[in-house]
Amino acid sequence: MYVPFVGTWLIFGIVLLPVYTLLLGWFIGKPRNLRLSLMGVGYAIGVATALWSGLALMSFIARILFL
Amino acid sequence: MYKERKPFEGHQPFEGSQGRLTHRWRGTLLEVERTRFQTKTENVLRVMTKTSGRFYLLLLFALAVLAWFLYAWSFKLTYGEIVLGLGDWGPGGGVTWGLFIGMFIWWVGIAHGGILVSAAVRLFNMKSLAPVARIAELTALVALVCAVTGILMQLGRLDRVFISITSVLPRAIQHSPLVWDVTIITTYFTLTGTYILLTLRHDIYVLRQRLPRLLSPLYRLLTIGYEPEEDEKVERMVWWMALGLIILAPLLLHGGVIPWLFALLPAMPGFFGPVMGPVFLSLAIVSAFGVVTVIAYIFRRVHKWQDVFPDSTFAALARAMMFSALLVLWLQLQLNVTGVYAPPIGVGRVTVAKLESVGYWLGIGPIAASFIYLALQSLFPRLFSVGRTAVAGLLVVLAVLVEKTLFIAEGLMLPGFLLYEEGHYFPSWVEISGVLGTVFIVVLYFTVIVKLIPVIEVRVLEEK
Repeated sequence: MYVPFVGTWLIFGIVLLPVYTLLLGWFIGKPRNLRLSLMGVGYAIGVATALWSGLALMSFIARILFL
Repeated sequence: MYKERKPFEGHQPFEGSQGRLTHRWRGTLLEVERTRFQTKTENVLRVMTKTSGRFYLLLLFALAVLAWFLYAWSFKLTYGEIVLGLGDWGPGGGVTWGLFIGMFIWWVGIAHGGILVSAAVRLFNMKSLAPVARIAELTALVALVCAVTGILMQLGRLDRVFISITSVLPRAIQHSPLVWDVTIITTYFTLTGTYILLTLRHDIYVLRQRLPRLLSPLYRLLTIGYEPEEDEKVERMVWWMALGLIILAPLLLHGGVIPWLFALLPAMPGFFGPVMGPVFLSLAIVSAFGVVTVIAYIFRRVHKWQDVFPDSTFAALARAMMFSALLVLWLQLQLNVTGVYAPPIGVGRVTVAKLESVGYWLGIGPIAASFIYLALQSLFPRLFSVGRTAVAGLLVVLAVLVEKTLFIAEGLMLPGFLLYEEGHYFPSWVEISGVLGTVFIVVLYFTVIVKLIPVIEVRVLEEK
C-alpha cells in the first residue's frame, strides 16, 4: 500500500508521544505544583522563541549584508 | 592503572568491637567527607572565579578561528555554491551534498547521544557517569547549534531560511521529512534547554554567595522565583523529562526522523533501507561518548580536576564506548553482508564502491581499533589509562565524521538510475573551514560556560 502522506500522524501521533508523556507527568504526577509546571512550560516556550528569533535575526542580517 | 578504590580502604582499626564505627571515628570520617565535598566544590568554584592568562589566550585563539570561519562563510555567500566542492549530478559530475550535511548528521548525533548520557544517569542512577552528566547536557545543546549551522552553511540563500520554513509550517509536515526534521530539532533543542535551566536553579541558588558578583543579574534571572521547597517537584519534573528524552532522542530522532531523511529514498540505494535507523543511532551514541570523554579529559587536565572526574568515570565512559563501538561494527556487518550476497543491482554497486573506498576504512577502521583497545583495557585493567581512553574517544569522533560524509557523498554519487558517469567529490576549503568553525564554537562555548555556571551538578559534588 502506498501511503505518501503519513507525516501528521507519524510526528504528532508517534514521535511526539514522549513529549505528551512528560507534560502529563509534570501536571498530573506527584508532587503536584501548578506554578512550577507552568514555569517549565514557560521555559520551553522561551527556549523555542530564542531559537527561532535567532534564526529570524540571522536571516535579516544575511539580507542586509549579502543582498 | 585504574583500580576502583573503596573510600578509607585499609582503615579497619577505626571500627569498634561490634563492627561499627565508634562515635569518635564516625565524626572524623564525616569531617573528612565534608572536606572532600568542599575540596571538589572549591575546585569548581576556583575555575569560575579565578582567570589565568591561558584563558584569555585560548579565548583569543578560538575567536581568531571563528573569524576565519565567518570569512569562509561570507566568501561562500558572496560567490555562491560554486566555491564548494559540490556539483550537479550527471553532466555536473559531482554530488549536491557533502561535508556540510555529513557534519550536520555528525553534530546532531553527538547532541542526541549527549542527552542520553544525562538521562541514563538520572533514570538508572548510573553514579560513575554522574560527574559528566551536565557536560553531556551542555554538549547536546551546543552540538544542536553546530548541526543547524551545517544546514545553514549548505543553503544558497541564507536570507530566505526563516521565511521559507515558516511559510510551509505546519502544512508541509504532512509529506516532507525535511519539515519533520525542523519540527523535531526544534522540539529537542527546546527540551534540552529546559532540562538544563531546570537543573541549574538549585545549583545556582546553593552556590550564589560564592559566584562572581559581576554576573549576579544572570544568576537572578536563572533562579527567578526560586524557593528551596521546589526542589522535590523540579527534580521530579526533570525525571519526567529524562524519561521522555531517553525515548525521544535515540529511538525517534536519531534512530527515526534523521535517518528517515535518507532511508525513505528508494532511488538512492546507499541511503535506502530499514536498518539505517539503528546504524545512525549506533554511530550517534559512540560519537557522543567519545566527545564527552574528550571534553571531560580536557577539563581534568587543564583544571586539575582529578577528584571531580575520577578514573572511575573514565572507566565507565570507556565501557560505554566499547559496547557502542561493538554495536556500530555489528550493524556495519549487517549492511555489508546483505550488500554483497546476491543484492539488488543498486545496493550491490553501492556496497562494492564503499568497501573499495579508502574513506570507508578511514571511518570504520579507527572505530574497530578503539573497540579492540577498549576491550583489552576492560579485560586487563592494568592497561587502563585515562589519556589513552581520551585518544580512543577522539579517534571515534573523527571516524564518525568521515563515515557520515562518505555516506552522504557516496549515497548521492551512486543513484539507482545512473545515466551519466559517476560524480566526484572532495571537500573544499570552505567546507573544511565550516567544520573547524563549529568545533571552535564548542571550544569557545565551554571556555566561557565553565566561568558562568557549575559544569558539575552540586548533588554530584556532595556525593561520597
